[in-house]
Amino acid sequence: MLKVEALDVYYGGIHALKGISFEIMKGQIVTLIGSNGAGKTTALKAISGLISGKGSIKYEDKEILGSLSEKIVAKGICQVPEGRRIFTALNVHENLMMGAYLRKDKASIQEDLGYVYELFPRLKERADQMGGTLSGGEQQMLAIGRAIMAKPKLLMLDEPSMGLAPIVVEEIFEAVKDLNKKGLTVLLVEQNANIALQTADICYVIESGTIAFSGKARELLNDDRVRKAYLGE
Amino acid sequence: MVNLFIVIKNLTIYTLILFLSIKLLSKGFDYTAKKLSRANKHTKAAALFISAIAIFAWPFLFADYPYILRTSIIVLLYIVLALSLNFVLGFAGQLSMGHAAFYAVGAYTTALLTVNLKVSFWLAFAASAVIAGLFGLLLGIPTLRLKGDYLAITTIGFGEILRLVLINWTSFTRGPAGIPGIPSPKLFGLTINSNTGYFYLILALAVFTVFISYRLLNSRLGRGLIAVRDDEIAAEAMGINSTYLKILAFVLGAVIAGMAGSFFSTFVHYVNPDNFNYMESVVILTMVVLGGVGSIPGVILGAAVLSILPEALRDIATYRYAIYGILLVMMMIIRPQGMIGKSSFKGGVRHENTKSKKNHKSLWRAVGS
Ligand SMILES: Nc1ncnc2c1ncn2[C@@H]1O[C@H](COP(=O)(O)OP(=O)(O)OP(=O)(O)O)[C@@H](O)[C@H]1O
Ligand SMILES: [Mg+2]
Repeated sequence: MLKVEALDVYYGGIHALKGISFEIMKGQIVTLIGSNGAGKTTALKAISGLISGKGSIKYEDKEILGSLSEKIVAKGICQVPEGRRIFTALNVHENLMMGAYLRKDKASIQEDLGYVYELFPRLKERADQMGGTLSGGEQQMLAIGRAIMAKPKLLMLDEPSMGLAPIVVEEIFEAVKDLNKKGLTVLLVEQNANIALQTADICYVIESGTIAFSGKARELLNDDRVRKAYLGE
Repeated sequence: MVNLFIVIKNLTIYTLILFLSIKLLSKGFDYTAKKLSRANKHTKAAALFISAIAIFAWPFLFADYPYILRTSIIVLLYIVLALSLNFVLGFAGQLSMGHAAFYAVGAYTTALLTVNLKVSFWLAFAASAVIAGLFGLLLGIPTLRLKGDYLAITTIGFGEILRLVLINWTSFTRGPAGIPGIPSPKLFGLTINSNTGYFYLILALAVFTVFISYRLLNSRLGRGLIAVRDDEIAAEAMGINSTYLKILAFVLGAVIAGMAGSFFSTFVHYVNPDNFNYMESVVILTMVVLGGVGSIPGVILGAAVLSILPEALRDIATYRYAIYGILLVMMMIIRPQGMIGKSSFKGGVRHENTKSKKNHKSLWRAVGS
């Protein structure tokens, strides 16, 4: 579904991604793990068209590197940005509708809104509450809900567990699995390697801008290199 | 020395008066906003209807008071100008400090076309809107990548450059002498040259501007702009083209300022570069900030207050800009959201007020200690 090949990204003089390649198949949950500053967020931004790079990013066999971010969202790739970045001055309902900005099919927007509220009942209770006053967990739910409202085929999540209590993390990852079962392909960026590996099918480990190694998530859970560096054992 | 004392004494008195009036007015607005948002549909419709009738009857009520009518026309003109800046500052969140430049482009386009080429006012009016819009586009494309202070400085520069061109390109603009003899508009064979005629003309433009403001605010594009202002990266991640929206707001603001300029030149029949100096931009900006950035009723009120104030303060005209400065500082302390903030009509008013009050208290504490 998505194929990244030899992707290079520079921030001025900083070489943030040094020719990384990875692939996501339809229906999979793929995770990118790596330590701070490894380049995970950068990879997501490049896929979303928020920054430019060299190399190739093919989505459904078409080159999307260099396209405008609105074109990429319209094609069905939507990301939940790092730190949630919900609209603080808009209420929950308005935030969700902002996700559907590019869509015109009113009936199916309403349908998806119902689905988001079903997935996260807490959002429904707080439909009129201002985004900025939600708790961290609720904001993460809102950020995911907002991305779902864009009706993506590929959902990219940037550190959804950041700063959340384990029970909320679990709730959110259950929702992600639920979405995946409904046919959504997921690219998950995480620091929390444990939960990422338990949730994902395939894992790529990224270290200072390159892919160090990759494999089936279940197998990497027992891999020494991963256990030492990312599971803290 | 004595003079200095007088100045300080006067400024203190004005500051006190302003402080009290802002306090009082704020209370009044909060009260009305609360009442209005609780009132049912019929009451609202009735209130709207009565104000509409009052505005339409205005020129007849004051037919014998040309001074009041002319002031009303100026008030409406500034309402249009302040609302046009509100597209840029309020909706797109871009600090543009050269807004008078678009006003100038509109005024000079109409002046040059009607005087030199004898074009009809209406055609010149349309041309003013288009050309001001083009200037907006020309300035907007390169500068909207800039933010905050940088954008402010660039727009100040643009305004000053334009004014210097108007002054120095004497073969085209007649320089500081300005362009006299701009004709009155003709409609169905009648010449609009009475205050009543001009009143209805600028009223139509003001109503149009208010309408466009609300249309934009409640449209998909308006919501997109709100999202961009709130968090540009998140907005782009949702597929919102922030550059396009910001330029749109900029051009729209320029077009409407150009229309206002066109009206101005036919109303006073004379333009010169001094009408469009930097202070003019600052005054328009002050109106928006005073009234409440992004709030349409607020901006209307801010424009009305600040265009009546100089008339009321005619005797102390020397203090005008000092008073504007004090007013702005006072507002930042007492009521940072503006006279009628964006949230006044939403549920958020209580929250914002408590916040500003807290800031205000801690500020006084800091000052006191
Ligand atoms: N806008 C920027 N300008 C300059 N350098 C940047 C910028 N954004 C990121 N970088 C650098 O690029 C590298 C990769 O950053 P990135 O945000 O992709 O890391 P990450 O893997 O997401 O880390 P984290 O887990 O801490 O979020 C870092 O060294 C970072 O300092
Ligand atoms: Mg990151």
